[in-house]
Amino acid sequence: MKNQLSRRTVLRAAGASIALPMLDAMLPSGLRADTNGNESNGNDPNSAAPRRIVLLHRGLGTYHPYLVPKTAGLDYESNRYLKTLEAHRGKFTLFSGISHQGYPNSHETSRAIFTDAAPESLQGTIPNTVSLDQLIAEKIGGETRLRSLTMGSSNGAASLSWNRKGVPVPSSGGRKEVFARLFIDGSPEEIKTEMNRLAHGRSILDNLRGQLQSLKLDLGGADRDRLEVMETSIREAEVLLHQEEAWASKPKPAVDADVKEFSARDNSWIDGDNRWYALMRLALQTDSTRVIVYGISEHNNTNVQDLEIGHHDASHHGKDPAKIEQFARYEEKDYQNFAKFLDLLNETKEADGSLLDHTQVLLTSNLGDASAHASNNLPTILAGGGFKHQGHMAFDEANNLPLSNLYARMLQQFGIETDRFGRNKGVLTELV
Amino acid sequence: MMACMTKPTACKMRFAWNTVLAIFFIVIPTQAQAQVHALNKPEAFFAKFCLDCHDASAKEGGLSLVGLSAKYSDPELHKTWVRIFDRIRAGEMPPKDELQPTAKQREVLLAELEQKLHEASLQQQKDGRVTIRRLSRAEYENTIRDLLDIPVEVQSRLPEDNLIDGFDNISQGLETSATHLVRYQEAADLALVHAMPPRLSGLTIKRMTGKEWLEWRPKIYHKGIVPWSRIEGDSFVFRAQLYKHGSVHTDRTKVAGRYRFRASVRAINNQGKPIPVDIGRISTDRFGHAELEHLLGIQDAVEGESRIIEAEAHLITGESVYVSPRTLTLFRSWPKDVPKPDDPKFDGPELVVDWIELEGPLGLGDAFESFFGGMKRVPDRFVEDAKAGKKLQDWSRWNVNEFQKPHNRLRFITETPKEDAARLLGQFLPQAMRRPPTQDQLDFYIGRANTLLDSGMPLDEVLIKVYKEVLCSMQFLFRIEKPGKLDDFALASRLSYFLWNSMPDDELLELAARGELRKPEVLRTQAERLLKHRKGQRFVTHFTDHWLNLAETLDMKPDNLYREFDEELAWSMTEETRRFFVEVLDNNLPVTDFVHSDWSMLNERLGLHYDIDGIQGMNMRRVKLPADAHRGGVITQASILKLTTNATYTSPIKRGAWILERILGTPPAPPPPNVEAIEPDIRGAVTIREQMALHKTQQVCASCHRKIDPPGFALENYDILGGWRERYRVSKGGEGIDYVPLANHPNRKKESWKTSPQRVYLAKPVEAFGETSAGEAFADIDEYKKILLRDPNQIARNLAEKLLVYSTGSPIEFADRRSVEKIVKAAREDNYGFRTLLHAVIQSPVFQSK
Repeated sequence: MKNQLSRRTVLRAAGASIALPMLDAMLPSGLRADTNGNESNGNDPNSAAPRRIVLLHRGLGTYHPYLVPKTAGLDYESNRYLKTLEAHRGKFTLFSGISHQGYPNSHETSRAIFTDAAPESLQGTIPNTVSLDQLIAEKIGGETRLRSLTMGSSNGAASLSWNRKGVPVPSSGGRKEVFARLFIDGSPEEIKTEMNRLAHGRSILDNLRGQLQSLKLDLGGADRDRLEVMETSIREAEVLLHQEEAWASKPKPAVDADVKEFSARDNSWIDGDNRWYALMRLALQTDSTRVIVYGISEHNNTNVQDLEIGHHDASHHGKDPAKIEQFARYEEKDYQNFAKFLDLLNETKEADGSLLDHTQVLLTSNLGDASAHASNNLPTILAGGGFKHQGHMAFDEANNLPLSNLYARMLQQFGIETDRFGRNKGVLTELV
Repeated sequence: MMACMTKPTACKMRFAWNTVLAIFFIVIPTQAQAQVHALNKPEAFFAKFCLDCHDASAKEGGLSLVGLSAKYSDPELHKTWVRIFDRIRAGEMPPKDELQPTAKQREVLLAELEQKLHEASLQQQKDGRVTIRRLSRAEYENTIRDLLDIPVEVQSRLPEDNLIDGFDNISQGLETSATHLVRYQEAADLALVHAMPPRLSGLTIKRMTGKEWLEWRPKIYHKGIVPWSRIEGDSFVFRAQLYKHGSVHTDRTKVAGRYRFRASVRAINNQGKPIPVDIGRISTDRFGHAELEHLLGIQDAVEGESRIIEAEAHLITGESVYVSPRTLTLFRSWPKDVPKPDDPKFDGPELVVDWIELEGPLGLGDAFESFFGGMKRVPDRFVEDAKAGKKLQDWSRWNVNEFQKPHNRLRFITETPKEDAARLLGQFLPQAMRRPPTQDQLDFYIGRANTLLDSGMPLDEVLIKVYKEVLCSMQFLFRIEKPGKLDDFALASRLSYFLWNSMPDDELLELAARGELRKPEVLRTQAERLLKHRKGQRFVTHFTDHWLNLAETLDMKPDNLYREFDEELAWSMTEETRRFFVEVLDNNLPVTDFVHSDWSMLNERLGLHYDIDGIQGMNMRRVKLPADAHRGGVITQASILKLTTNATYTSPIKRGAWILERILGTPPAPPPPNVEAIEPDIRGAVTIREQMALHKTQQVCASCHRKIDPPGFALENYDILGGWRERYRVSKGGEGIDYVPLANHPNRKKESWKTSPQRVYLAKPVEAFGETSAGEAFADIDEYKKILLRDPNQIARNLAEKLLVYSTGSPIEFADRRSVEKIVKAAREDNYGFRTLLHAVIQSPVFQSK
């Protein structure tokens, strides 16, 4: 009980200090008097281009024999999957023998793939922790129109992105919706309505704060603790609305693309994923956001000639060679799409290099060997982002390296000074 | 094949803790007991029976009992003590091969500990078991829908809720983040736009005869319809199945709302068998729904008399409802050798549709009248004329879209906007807050309305703005309860969120206002009323979705080896479980029926799947099961057996854990970190059981798997779709593997196999025998069920706990156990009736306190 009281006091103190008028730092850079780089946003002051990060998750693991080369280093002998990425050799690193520690063998682990919360969070007995993307998004704040994009193709998007309260960040919507939010300007009438709506939204939050105060008088200790957590949510929501308001009247960047390219019906999942990737490129290129999480869903075999059974079915191949072949075809196409995405980023030139040079792109999965539902040896590729890539980095397949060692490294690469993430045991020091 | 039991059935099994408990609760809290025996002190008991293993150096299982603090109310120590209590009570500790206490010694110690832990737990609960919590996504959506009586879809806009103990409405899982607060505002905007329709259309009933339907269809479509049908009198007669969009359907809805659809149908020339008729929705976005989500129901047409089939649903603007004869041949796949419908030689089955009818929107006017009503509305540009009393142009038949234009937006005509706002807010607030507002709250919102009106904002916009503020308030978004016994309004909400997953209605709020709801007989009557109301279906759906995990039944598409998986089976399997639940609930059948029953709710498709003859048509009905059916109870229903696999192969672990968690209420501990995964081999050479042999030999696995694996093994006779199997199916031949034309599905329609390249072989035999953790052997599922049934108290206890968790939003704590036992007792005294148990839950102090 004593403990709880002291925690409450701390929260209260924090409340008092934060409930100040809007700070300048909360405004988008374009609206600030001083437009110099702000250290807290993780930008490299020596580079004109901002740093970005894209986290890609695909379910169902991999068929390791087709992905993991026999030797480590840049001179690995290419194999079935890595062939698709041959053009990018030297621009990415494949990690083997890497995973989160202590997870049960199940699909459920996707909830923690970017958070590395303790395994109990998977049973719901403790809340999930903040995900890599949201940690970075917090730093960026109102610098970009959207702090982050959380997206997923069709139904496959498990909750990948989590805020500090252990609440999953809801999806940013479909392709068309995202495109409209980023690139289609509203009419003056619509902008006015939106500004009114946001202003009203802030007064609603004020009401809420008043209601909290009077409720506190009526309720017991445990409830009051909870209400104080709510107070931080109210403050954060105020910041969100304020930033939205600042952006609402700013014209959106013009892009050489039509919404129809994104709203049209997909011919197949391959087509669909490629359009998502194209949209991600536009979002990054225009600096509309610097943080993207994208969940690649389980695929179906509709309209793809050499796919005969479903993706999920094929992944649980139970060593049946015919199923393994089907599974491999799915994966091959996934990696081909991924390679095309890297092409897109690479051919987008920016000051000091390409968009790829300034974007860390991570592709991983919640499962290693899906047929065994194994949660170790996660197929993990990191590309771009200004790292000195190593080709294939091989760690112990029996005793994996914590994936969060890499995540901590990625945070550092973003300019965030920390050596902690999740349950990491150190920071991956290679790649420099 | 099943002759090989590992051990003779000589079982001196201990009946886990449940049987002990029944005696035990009669014995406890008398003070006389304190001096009965020195061993009632834990230290003395531990010293004698436990310290060999649980001392500071050996610390078996990570537990040292030396100097274990007796601070029972410390949260962490409390958990440790409860674990010790449970292990001793279950007879698991001390282990069988160690020195055992006498029954009396055990009992006395447990009585002492129970009292201490109960008191400590009560102390922890002094501010209530459950903290203030926001509505879950599902509750939020239902509440908005019920409050405004509109079918608005808002769930997908809100962050997903975390599941705790399988449920989505538990306080700990319902954290409120900034995203919630922002999204609630968007959801409220959306809902209020829907609630204020551009034009209020009253309830309409529109009926069309079959002939009228055809005449109403544009001529250009006739060539896709006429050759496949005929007209008989005023009726339309299907001879083939048409595309859904070309099938007999209603006009599109003009406004969103709840609608009732009815149709009069009859079968002809179908060899005396019924023709199942799909009732489905056609969305404006025709690809927006998966096929099964289109379906509002499947009901049978029979030969002879026409019968009326009906369905009720929330429809959005622009949707229509169709009927389609499920078993008639699809026009596109008409076989070459069969006379076509327009051939005079046609002699196939037909479906007659006499008429179709759509009624609605049901109830929309009521909510609108309460919250926006009592005033005249005219388009904005006529406002001045209307005020001046001039005659206006008739706008009542304008296209709906006209009213979206600013100059045509409908405005209230009133001389007394402030009075109107106060009147309408007086109606809205008690509903939205689920209790009467305080004077301060009322003054606040009326003050807001007045300020806005003074600024010149029109009344309709003012109302929407202030209502939005209410919908974003703590009182709407949160379930607020004060410590101790719930007040009448909090009780009304607890009851309605339990049985309707939504807000209380007028009747509940009135009873609460009169202070009558808390009377046991009134509460009982109200619970009955809520269950019988159409919204009571939400309890059935939501509770089974989470208790049984039924929501996930259709998540995964089965392996191609199981080609018998079709839409009918998919639809029927979840339907069976829900109908079964309703049947048990409605008839107060014993809760043991969830484990085993001699009946189930079946239709022809499930009959085919389960190999039970004599069921015709797709209507679900209660069927008495043959003695050798290997069915009965939910645990052997196709839905459950499917959702406990990964759709490719069965997993005894997944199924075993499901039984322990959901049916027995004794969830297994999570697997230890970094265990080696089993990679199943579906080629047929090795069975999953053979691969699981390690569980037995490795001590670290065995302690849990001797509980998890047995129920899973018993269910091995069911394949991934819940079909009965005696050998495993594989896709390739080989040594000891036989080709079978139709696997274990003898009645499967031939034609679909023609189109499928998948061949099916049978490999190794299934072994379903096992031994319970108490050492009792069983040969198969039938014997295993008998073992489970010997302890009906545990089945009742589990359900009582699940219902309490679901209805109160908090996990069961030690202090709740006495209440749980009272509920179990009430059920036991009424043959374990489920409805009796449900009422006992509602009448319990746990349900009625914060």
